Amino acid sequence: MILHHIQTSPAQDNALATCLRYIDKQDTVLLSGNAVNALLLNTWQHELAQRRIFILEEDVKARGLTERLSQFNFINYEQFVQETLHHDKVISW
Amino acid sequence: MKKLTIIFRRAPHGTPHGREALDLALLSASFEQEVSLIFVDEGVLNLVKMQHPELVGAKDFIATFGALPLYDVDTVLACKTSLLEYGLDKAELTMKLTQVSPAEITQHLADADEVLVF
Repeated sequence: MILHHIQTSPAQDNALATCLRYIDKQDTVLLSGNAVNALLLNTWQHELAQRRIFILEEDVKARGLTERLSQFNFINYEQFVQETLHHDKVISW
Repeated sequence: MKKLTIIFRRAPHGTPHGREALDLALLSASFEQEVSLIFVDEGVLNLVKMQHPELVGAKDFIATFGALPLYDVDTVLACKTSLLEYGLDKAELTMKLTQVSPAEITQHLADADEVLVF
């Protein structure tokens, strides 16, 4: 099980799209930094609908998007570290 | 000895990523790591033959791909879907490689010990 880490917004870089092409069903996606903005757009909400997704709480709060993104799973930095340990490896796209 | 997979997802010359990825591949291979390369998305443009990056002041690392066999880097894969998208599926490429499906790449990522994306 792989943790795929995306740090850039789809508007800025192709990382998320590329990752989703090669991801396994049971892998996890962690969105941090500007990547959290992707979930504001319904195209990406659909793409990520069946996936196990985490978004980094600090980055969401920093952008004032806590309410708008409330339906997604937030994790903070400590939980992020825990997640990296639970997975076989992390791929930073 | 680690199975290290290096993914090229960006086009060459616009950014230093391609050259850095190749440097890492050759360096790791010279330290006896089992290195494999995968070209995906716009990264397949690294594979276009007859590039002349020196014309725009970019370092010609494309020629260095030829050194891979000397370093025993024999697993070089390219995403069939990406090659098709960029019209390179039938083209002659800079090096011998295996065209694979996204599903095969997914499996390869699972098997690797470490995966680094450039």
